[in-house]
Amino acid sequence: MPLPPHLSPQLWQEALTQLRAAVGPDALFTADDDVTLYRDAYSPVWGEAEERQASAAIAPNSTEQVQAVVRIANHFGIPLFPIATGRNLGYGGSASNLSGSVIVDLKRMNRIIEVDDKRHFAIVEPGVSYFDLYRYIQERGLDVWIDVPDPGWGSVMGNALDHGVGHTWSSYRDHFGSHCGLEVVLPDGEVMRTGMGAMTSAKTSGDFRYGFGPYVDGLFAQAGFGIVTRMGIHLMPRPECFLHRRVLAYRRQDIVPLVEVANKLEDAGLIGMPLYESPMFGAQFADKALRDIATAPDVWNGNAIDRYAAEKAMPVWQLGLSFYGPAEVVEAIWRHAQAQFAKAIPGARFETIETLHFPLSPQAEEAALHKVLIGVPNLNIFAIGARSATNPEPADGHLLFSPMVARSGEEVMKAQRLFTEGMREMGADFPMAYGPFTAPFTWMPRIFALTAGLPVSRSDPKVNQRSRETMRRLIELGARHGYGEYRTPPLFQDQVMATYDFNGNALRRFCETLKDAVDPKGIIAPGRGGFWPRAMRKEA
Amino acid sequence: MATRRLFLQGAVGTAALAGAPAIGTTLPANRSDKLLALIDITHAQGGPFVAAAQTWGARTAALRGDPLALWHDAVLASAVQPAAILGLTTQGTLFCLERLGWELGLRVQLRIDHLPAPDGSWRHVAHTDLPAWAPDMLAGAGADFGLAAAHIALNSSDGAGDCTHAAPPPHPHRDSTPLVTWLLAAPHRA
Repeated sequence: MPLPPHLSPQLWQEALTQLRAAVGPDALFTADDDVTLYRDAYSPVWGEAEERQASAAIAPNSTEQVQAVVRIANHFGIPLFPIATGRNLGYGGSASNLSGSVIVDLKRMNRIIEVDDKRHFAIVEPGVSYFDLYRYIQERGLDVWIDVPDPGWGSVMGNALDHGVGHTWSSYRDHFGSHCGLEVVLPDGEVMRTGMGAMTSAKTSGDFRYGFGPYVDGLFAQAGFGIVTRMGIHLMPRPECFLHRRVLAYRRQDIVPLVEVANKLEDAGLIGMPLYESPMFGAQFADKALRDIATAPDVWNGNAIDRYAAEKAMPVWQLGLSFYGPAEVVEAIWRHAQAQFAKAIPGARFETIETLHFPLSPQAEEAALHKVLIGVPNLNIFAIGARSATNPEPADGHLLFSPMVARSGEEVMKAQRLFTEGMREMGADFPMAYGPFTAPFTWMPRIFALTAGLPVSRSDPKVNQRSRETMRRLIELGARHGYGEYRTPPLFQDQVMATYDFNGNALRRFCETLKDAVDPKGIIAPGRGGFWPRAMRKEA
Repeated sequence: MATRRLFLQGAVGTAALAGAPAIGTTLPANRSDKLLALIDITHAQGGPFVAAAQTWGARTAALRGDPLALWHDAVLASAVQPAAILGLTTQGTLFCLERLGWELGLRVQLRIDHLPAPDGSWRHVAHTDLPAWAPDMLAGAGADFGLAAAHIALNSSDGAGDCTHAAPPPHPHRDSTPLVTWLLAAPHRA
């Protein structure tokens, strides 16, 4: 494994001695067999010179130990890369931005400090997974729900700090948006708390996120300004009932009113996450006639798609709607929603998918159709063995291109065409990626992600080369048309940050100014978020 | 609907495989009470695999794709921490179990990918050296390779090979689900 940059073997050994003393001999990992576990399993540069390799890993079990580690690293000039549980697959896993970094593995800090089911929040350490928190709540019969990503084995805190997302109400599925208060070890080893936690006597750090003064929490997400060791997060009160219903639309242009009505319902707080799909996405791979339609140059006028839909009685779009609340209330909202969709979309049909009343028995929970919609963490996304739009073959993994697209049907169709034709011009043949049936993801509130997965391989470098070349070109193409990435693996973070180019990249320059002020040596995750301290900047 | 318990009860006593070597000759016998088998019961090959593991004295637990809750219940919350875990699952499930196993110091020591073809045949790809009899046993079992796979896993020597981060072999038939036989155990350190 590589040494930290600019550190002699002798100083490295001295640093290791001090780090070992700080956390104990069992919590410092220097053997290749151990450090290799921190490689990104979905790395698009697997086994190549560009792959980010750690020099060692260390697993402190308290904020005090994190402080000690940071101070030692600061003394020796060793870059650290903190991970919570390291499950950020598709966006870098546990790999750092800089080879030779020491991974600070916070899994052992896995205490659930508090769950309040009257004021609806939790306070957790980094190593608490969604599953841990879910079980804690279930075992105590607490009257709250968590919002979970897919998959649900990652860290509650780590996901939030990478702007991760979930599947229920807009108030909860933006996981950073629903966080409330941080405890952070700063690059000099000092501990800071934000929000009400900054007041020693306050008991409201899980309730009120702002406290007083500048709201600095955003500096600790997708960035290297400190190591977060504790976080509050708002939780959803457990609803009485969940309805999952579906709207079916039979013309390509129906995406326009479909989105308009769904936006209105969601922004009024009447529905949870809208779930857009096209039954034709999967069908095109089973029916050559439909695939021919999908790949024809004139597909974008929608005529052939609409004819096919009419002949086969197959919807072009389907929209899943989630309702949470008292039974009589959600049934009434569903009736209201049907009326709105029927008025806006002639010929729309409606389906009942699932009705659940809580609490669920274990059997009912296991039988639930879409567990993440009801806050049940699971790993089904790995286990089903099938591939999807964001999980293409080969099955080793994928890297995710996630451009942010305005929440309108017109914009979805425009972006579909842009990325489909763009990939064709690139000569990139990824049939699962983009086409006229690519549906928008709605994980992030008030925006669409037109996410595509590009395959990666741990055995075929050509696959990786093709995917990363395509990724770089997609980032560039998207940015030219205003579609920015919200999250990306370390390999692409500099490029993505460069696309946020207003006023000569003023955002990046401001981040660099802050980095130079609080972490001039680049001790905490240098390069994270696509900006570096002066000494490590390429122009330096 | 078959419950996990019914499935496992039904699997007991079906472990006979003519001509197969005796089960369990190289995994240390004193570890059999700490041997756990995790099997995906969605697939027909799972039942005979369960039966073979039980015959050898392993604890068995069934899953349907998602291993997360089972890992907590059968491994983390168990009074007896398994020294070795073997199983027959999908590749995706093994991907998860491999990473969960790392937290306990376990590594994938044996991995055989089972790849279905459209004609109903299966191809078996091992990532480590197998006993000399193993390839023929797998090939001769056709689609009913669950018992043969269990025999191989139970007869493999822990520490036989390091399959950490092993890549699944290419599989062009996207409508079918490959399976994988595996063994998680603590690596031997120099």
